[in-house]
Amino acid sequence: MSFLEAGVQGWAIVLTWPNLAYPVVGTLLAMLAAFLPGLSGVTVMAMALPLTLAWEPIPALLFFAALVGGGTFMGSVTAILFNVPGSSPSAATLIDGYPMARNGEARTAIACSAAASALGSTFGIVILVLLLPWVRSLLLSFGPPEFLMLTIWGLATVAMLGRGNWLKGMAAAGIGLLLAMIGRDPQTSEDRYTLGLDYLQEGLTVIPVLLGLFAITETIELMASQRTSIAGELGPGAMRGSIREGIAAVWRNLGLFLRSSAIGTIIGAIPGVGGTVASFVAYGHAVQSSPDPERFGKGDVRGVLAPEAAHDAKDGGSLLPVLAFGIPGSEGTVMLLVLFEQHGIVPGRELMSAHLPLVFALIWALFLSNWLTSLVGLAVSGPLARITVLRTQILAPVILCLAAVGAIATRGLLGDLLVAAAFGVLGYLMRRHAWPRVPLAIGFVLGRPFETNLLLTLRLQELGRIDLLARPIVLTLALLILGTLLLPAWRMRKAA
Amino acid sequence: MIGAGDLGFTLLLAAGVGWLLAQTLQLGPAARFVSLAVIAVTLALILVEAARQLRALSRQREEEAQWPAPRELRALAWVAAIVLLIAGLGGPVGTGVTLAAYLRLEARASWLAAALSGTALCVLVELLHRGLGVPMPAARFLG
Repeated sequence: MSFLEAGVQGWAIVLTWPNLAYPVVGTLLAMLAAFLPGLSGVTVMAMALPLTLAWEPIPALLFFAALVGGGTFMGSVTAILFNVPGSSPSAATLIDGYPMARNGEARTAIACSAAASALGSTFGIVILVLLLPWVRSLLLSFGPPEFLMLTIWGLATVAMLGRGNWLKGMAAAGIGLLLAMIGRDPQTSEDRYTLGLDYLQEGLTVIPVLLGLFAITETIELMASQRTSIAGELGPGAMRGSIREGIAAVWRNLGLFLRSSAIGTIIGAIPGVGGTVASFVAYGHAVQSSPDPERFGKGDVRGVLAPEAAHDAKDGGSLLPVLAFGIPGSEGTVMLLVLFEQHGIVPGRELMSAHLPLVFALIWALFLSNWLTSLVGLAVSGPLARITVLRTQILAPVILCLAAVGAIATRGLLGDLLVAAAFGVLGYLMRRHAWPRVPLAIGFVLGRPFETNLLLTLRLQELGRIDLLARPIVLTLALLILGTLLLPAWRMRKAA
Repeated sequence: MIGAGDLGFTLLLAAGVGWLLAQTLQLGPAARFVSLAVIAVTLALILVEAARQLRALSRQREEEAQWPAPRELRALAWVAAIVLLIAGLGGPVGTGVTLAAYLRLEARASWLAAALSGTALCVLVELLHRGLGVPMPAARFLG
């Protein structure tokens, strides 16, 4: 069966009633879950796994594909409106999304996020479909050295983010890396910096740290400042920005959108790297490639567009290793893999040949879910944007409570709440004393993969199993890292 | 404008990294390899920044007020309160009580509005816990 025939058959499967209802219901459930603190599409997937055991494979697959695609956008809505990242990858969106909300441009930010999200996921899916025949050889070329270079590329973006004060940015990233090292050493299993506490043996988890650094910090700032609302003194009628402006921003920055989507698709396809790296690398690229980088961090729509496009394009890419090898690239695809097992579907050659229409049905369900999420998001962006003009004294405690619930809801541990509170205070002090928080977040998120892949690469090199100079992807990434580090210096020199 | 508080915070960070260094030196050679490299670079960067701030501070004539304002202290106290209330009373009741207390004491909402809002949040969190299975430390009052 040709890919084209399988693609058409896949569409037919999705559009048949009642099959169509599964991705629609799945999308709406994932959206609702992503808007609630501590919940995500993955949580709903975990809860739905036992419920879908008795289902036929096709409805279960369609439902789960929608859960993978449906949750991503709403996590960014909370990031834009309240500085609360609904999921870790949304942390990159809040850097410019929240300042836009503070400038009264929440509608533009949400609309841009929705448009970039839908188009980015479409880009990812198109690349996924085009690459399906060649996926095996492409994925096998990635090993620890390539992962290491990728994490270093992510860390190199710090050089651009701390442009106001390069020293502080790099030092904050170093602190983030060190915080990620709390817990057992990956090589020797020795406890590091655990203060003798069992809680710290597994290390700090991402959600409480990010909620503390951004959401709790922002709440303290809102409570302590004289601002009457997130959007300052602006009344509902005085709010600037529009849905049209948000959508137009994607077309005005088409090059950036395409590059960010490509970054998201490539990183999404690499197992274990995930959407957070994709979002931050895309954000860093947006800053680096901009002629006016000083506008970022103050509410530039390109700072919303780039991470959103990358984050959603990643969904398509992350399906590649699952379908071809059964290797999950994210939490969502882990759940998808469990679902495959439950229904006796074996990823790999058989799935990619005998069950190709099923593969396409999964891909189209993901496509449908991403578009549905964005359309619903666009429809509700107006009312949602009005939240930013609510009184600070009413909004701040609600955000604080939601952040607290979000922190403990992930694992049900009160220790996570204490960690979020501690990072909230640290974030507030950093903000007060003009230390950038984003490099710390990037260092923290990339710390574990950086250390693990560095140790693996060194060991493989020591054993003579790899030759770094003979690996084209390593060399290409090394050039990109060099370019990322040298470009700001070259720009500064040129400006001087 | 750089104040003494800025320099104090930088030195606090340096002290934190210094403590990590002391802890790292107690680890085995294999476990401390990567950490030591990161600590060395981070500490050097922080100390260079501290030196830069010290130079700027000595050149500056007037110092900006850096000590926490009463509003800041109150905001920090509220964060401490929410942590203590949630930890002490359990997730749903703790968040509900915190919201009600804040609305009454800070936002000057009526007792009724504060109590209703607090109860609504408590019920929402409890529903998340029981209905959707979100792990949440049980409320001690509700059982």
